[in-house]
Formats: sequence, structure tokens, C-alpha cells
Amino acid sequence: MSAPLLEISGLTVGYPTAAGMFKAVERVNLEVGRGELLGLVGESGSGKTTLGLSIIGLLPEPGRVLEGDIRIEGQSMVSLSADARRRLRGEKVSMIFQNPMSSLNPTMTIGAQIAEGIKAHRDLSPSAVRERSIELLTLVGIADPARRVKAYPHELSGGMRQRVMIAMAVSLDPLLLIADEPTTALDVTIQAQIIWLLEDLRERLGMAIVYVTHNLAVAANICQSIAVCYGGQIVEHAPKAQLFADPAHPYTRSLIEAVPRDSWRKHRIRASAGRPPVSIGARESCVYAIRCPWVFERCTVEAPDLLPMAPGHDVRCFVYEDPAQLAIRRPPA
Amino acid sequence: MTMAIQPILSTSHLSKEYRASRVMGLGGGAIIRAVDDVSIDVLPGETYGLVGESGCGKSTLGRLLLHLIEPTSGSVMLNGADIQAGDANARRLLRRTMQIIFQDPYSSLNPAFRVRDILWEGLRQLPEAARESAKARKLRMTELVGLVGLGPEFLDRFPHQLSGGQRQRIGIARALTMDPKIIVADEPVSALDVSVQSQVLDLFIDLQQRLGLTYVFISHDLSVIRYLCDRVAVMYLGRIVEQATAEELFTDPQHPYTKALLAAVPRIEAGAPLGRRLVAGELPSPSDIPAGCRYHPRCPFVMDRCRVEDPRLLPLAPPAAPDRLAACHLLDPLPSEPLPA
Repeated sequence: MSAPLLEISGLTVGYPTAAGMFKAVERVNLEVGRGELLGLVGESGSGKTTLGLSIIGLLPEPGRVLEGDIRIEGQSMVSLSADARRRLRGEKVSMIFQNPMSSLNPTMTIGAQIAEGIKAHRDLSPSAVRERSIELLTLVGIADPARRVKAYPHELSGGMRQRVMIAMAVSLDPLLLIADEPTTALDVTIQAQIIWLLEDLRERLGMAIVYVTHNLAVAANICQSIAVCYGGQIVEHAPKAQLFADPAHPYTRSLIEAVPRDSWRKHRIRASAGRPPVSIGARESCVYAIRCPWVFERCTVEAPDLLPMAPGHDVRCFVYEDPAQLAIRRPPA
Repeated sequence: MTMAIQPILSTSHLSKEYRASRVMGLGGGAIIRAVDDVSIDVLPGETYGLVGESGCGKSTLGRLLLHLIEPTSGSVMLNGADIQAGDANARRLLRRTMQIIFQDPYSSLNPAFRVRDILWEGLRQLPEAARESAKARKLRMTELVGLVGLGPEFLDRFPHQLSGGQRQRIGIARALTMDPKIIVADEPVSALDVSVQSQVLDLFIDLQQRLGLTYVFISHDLSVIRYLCDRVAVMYLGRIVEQATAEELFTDPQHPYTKALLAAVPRIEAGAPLGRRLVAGELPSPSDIPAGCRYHPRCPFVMDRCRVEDPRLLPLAPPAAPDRLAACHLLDPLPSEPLPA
């Protein structure tokens, strides 16, 4: 069997602070197959964006990879020079962000911005580049592309700008697209359109997508599998259907429970207290221990690993390593 | 039955127009009708939801309700009295009766003020509080932060020392300083993470039950609206296109826009697909509202009549509840009036 498209092993990413090393991502293991659509779900500060930025090699200073490796098609990204990484960016992996207006240059036409990326990687004539730009705009569903290439970002709606960002991101046929909250700033009807577009593109171009979102319902809609992030760690990773049918980690369970579904008069949400931790220095307990309704002694003195509990279903929780605890927390029906 | 209850807050043909400036790139001098002929009745003790996408006018309507902005035409009635008619005294009473909570607790709290000073800004407007001893004042403030689930130690903190959820709690406490009857909440949980969001929603329910508050709850998030609201108005480009109880709206939407909006909401039930064909196109510019029904360019059920005749917000045919309204020619049982040649 060939190597998975993306393979992250034991990845820890830190930012040095006056108080010590702040670990935004800690001991993350993750694999993404070709053409797979993986959801990376978590709340603010869970490390999901840092994880996305590390994959594409765009960690902001002074962040750095402290441990572990990121491999794309078996090739280590961490050990590459900045130059070599730049060459792979766009070709192998590219990224789109929440706010397209801050990623687009307001003084350049969108055609020129799409062309910039293509010209940096491909030796094409100006007319071929222009043709490709128009083709890309058509691909992302922008009507009248020959006219739109001459438009400036401010002349487009939020949804159109995100389409342009997507066109730029797929211009070199990458194998992997990291989409960081691409629809969070958009209205719900436009969000639906962008989600369909990403699903279509994944099918047509055969690329894999890592979809980073705080919105569990969005992930539930489009992703095949979901990794739940908390406090810089992946606490659960499972195929979508399994994650929702049988959420294992107590944090995943509280996250699913916190999504309003019906009227409070029919189904009142039991709000969980507290908020995510900030991990500075070494960790000697489970990252979720202080909020966890299942916490027992071991959780406060040791940090659990992400371990398989069923085929394709991994969880980072001591309860699943201890049949006696499991019988108490989740008594068999 | 419900019709016998007098509304605590209502609007009558309320409109707000803005003139676009040239720099906004909307064409200089264009008229933007942010709120266009809106009449609603909010009943005492209920949570009335205003839902819609950007530019639908829900926030402008919220500000009009509190008279934070002047309407272009129409009126707002508080307990049956026009809020514009009164003198300064009546204005003060309006402030005591109705308060607003904003989306962004980061920008709506003064960063140079401690929580106690933020609350005092409101409290000192009360004649009875202004005369109180420092001790009684402190007790009042401790009660206020206690009401929103925070301890007295928070009175000495600055906004930057608070988490997003705590800031929103202080925003709520500030709104409660005047002991209001009505709170207009404009996207109060939209900036919060889902676990913090559920804590704040819980607080809203709690406060309503304890203080008998009436809420006008403005949100773009349909799940939150469904969770919290008793009745809901769906807005599109300045108009209300449908009004119903939350239960009816979410189980049996009538207006094509409501249907499209609900179909576009991702649901957590695994495999629930987004309704593909229902939502086409983008929102038209509010400075260039389509003729006839303003939804017709995006509507899959468009008829000739929709392109020329603006549908009125009318009660649905029985057996629908009498306060169930929709503005759609498809739902209008009456033949259209002949069009002028």
C-alpha cells in the first residue's frame, strides 16, 4: 500500500512566551487519504487553525514545530527548506481562509491575482495564463468570467470573493486543500453554495480537503470523517456517521449536545461549564480533565494517548482504557 | 385568544431609508430602504425572533424599536403609546423600559472602565440609585453580576480581563441595570463558541423566567432562533416575508424564501443533505430592490404576477393561526387586482 496523502505524526507546535512554551498543537497524529474530505472541528483556541497552517508551512513567527513530522506523499515537510516548501505550496497543498477580503490585494484585479500564482509556477504565455484564469473562474461558478477577471475585489460580493480565493487555491491542481472556516463570514444561503462548490471540486479534481470549522453541523454535512480538536489535541477521530451515532469522548458528546436543535421548551441544552485551557509547559494531566464529567484519578496525573477503540475510530480518553470505568460512565444498555 | 392580549411593543408601517454616499460604491445618492413598511406586534413575556441574512434590515429594525435611530416614516408604540410623541421624561422612561444588547461585547464595553464603572453608567441614571450610599450601591452591583452568573470579584475587572462569554454577561448585566421590561438582543451569541453560546442562551432563558422579560431576539442563526423564540419574523431586503410561531415556521415553512433559508442550514443529523436546488443567486443590493416581489429573481416558483406586483403580508387561509402571515402571491387566495395599463 502506498503512503497516505497526508501523514502527521507526533506533531507538537509551540509559541515561546514569557511564561514558557505555549503549545498550540500537541502530539497530533492524523492521516488523510487521497480525495478524502476530513473535518477538523474545534472551538477557538483548540489549535485547529495552527494545525492547518503547519501543514502548509505558513506558521506565523515565532511559532515552530517542536516535535513530530508532516509528510505529504511520504515527503517530510518539516525538514524542507523554506524555498522548497514554497515550490510545493500551491502544487501539492494550498489553503483558503475565512475572510477573503483580507487575503486579496485590493489594488489588483482578480485576474492579475490569479495569474500571479500561475506564473510563479508555470512557464506559460500571457494569453495562456489569461485563458487559464478565465477557465478557473468558470470552474468556481463565476458568471461572465471574461468580464470578471478585470474586476477588483471590492466590486465582488463576499461569496464571489471566496469563489475567487478557491480559484486561486486550485489553480495548480493541488492534491490537498486546507479550507479554514471558508464560510464562517458568509450568509447561510451563500455558505450552502460554497459548500456545494467545494464538494463538486473535490469530485472533479480529485483533491483531498481538510475542512477546518467551529461549526459541527457544517462538518456533519460535508465531511466523510471528523477529527475533534480540544486544547491543541485531537481528542477523537472517526467516520462521520460513527462520530454522531456513538460519540466516544466526553468533549465530543458535550459539543454535539450544545448545538441547539429544537425549542428549549422541548429540549433544553444542559450547558457545560468552563472554557478551554491554555497549555503552557509540560502536561501531566488530560487536557479536558478540569471540565470533564467523567474525570477520575488517572486523568489528573497522566495524559492519555489517541488510541483506537473501534476500526477507524480513535479516542483520547482513559475511560476507554479501563473497562471498570467504562462500565460506570457508559453502562451497557 | 392570543389576539386579546395587548402587545407591549409594536410598529406600524415602519420604514428607514438611507442615502448611500458615493464612496460606498453603491452609486451616489441611491436610496437604500433598510426597513420597508414593517408592522409587528410583540406580546408581553414572549421571545420574538427577527431572522434573516445580511442586509435584510433586522438590526436596523432593532435600533428603530429603541429609537436609537429616527424612522423615515411609521411609528413604534410602547404599551400603545407612540415613543416619538413624548417629551424628555417619556424618553427616559423608554430607556428604562427597553434596553439593547449587542453582538460584540468586545466593542460595546468601554475598555478603560472597570465592570463596576460600566454598570454605574447605567445605574446612575436611576434617581433611587444615584442617592444611595456606597454600600447599598455595591450591593446592587453585586446582585446584578450575580444575576448573570458572575461573582462580586468581577466588579473590579476590566473588559480585557474577561472571556468572550463573561463580557457578554456583563453586556447583559448592564442592560439589566434599569430593570427593563423589554430587551432587544442583536446577535448576542454570534461571536461565541458553541459551548459558551449554550451557557449564554441558558442565561437568557433563566432571566426571562425570573424577571418576566420580553425579548426581541435578532439573529442570522436559525438554530438559535428555533431554540429560543416563541414567534419568528423572517426578513428579506427590509421586509417581513413570513411570520409564524417558531414551531410552525420550522416544521411547515410557507414562503419560498423561508423554505430556501431552512434548506440551506446545515443540520447536525449525519447525512442530512443541504437542499440543493432551493437557493440560487445572491442577495440583490438593497439600493436596487427588484420590482414586484423582491424575492422573485431568486424564487424557483416565480410567476408573471410576482414580477410586477409587490405581495402584501397577509394572514394565511384557515386553518392557519390568525397571526400566521406571509407575503407571497402563491399563498394569496384572492385574485390579483387588474394591473393599470
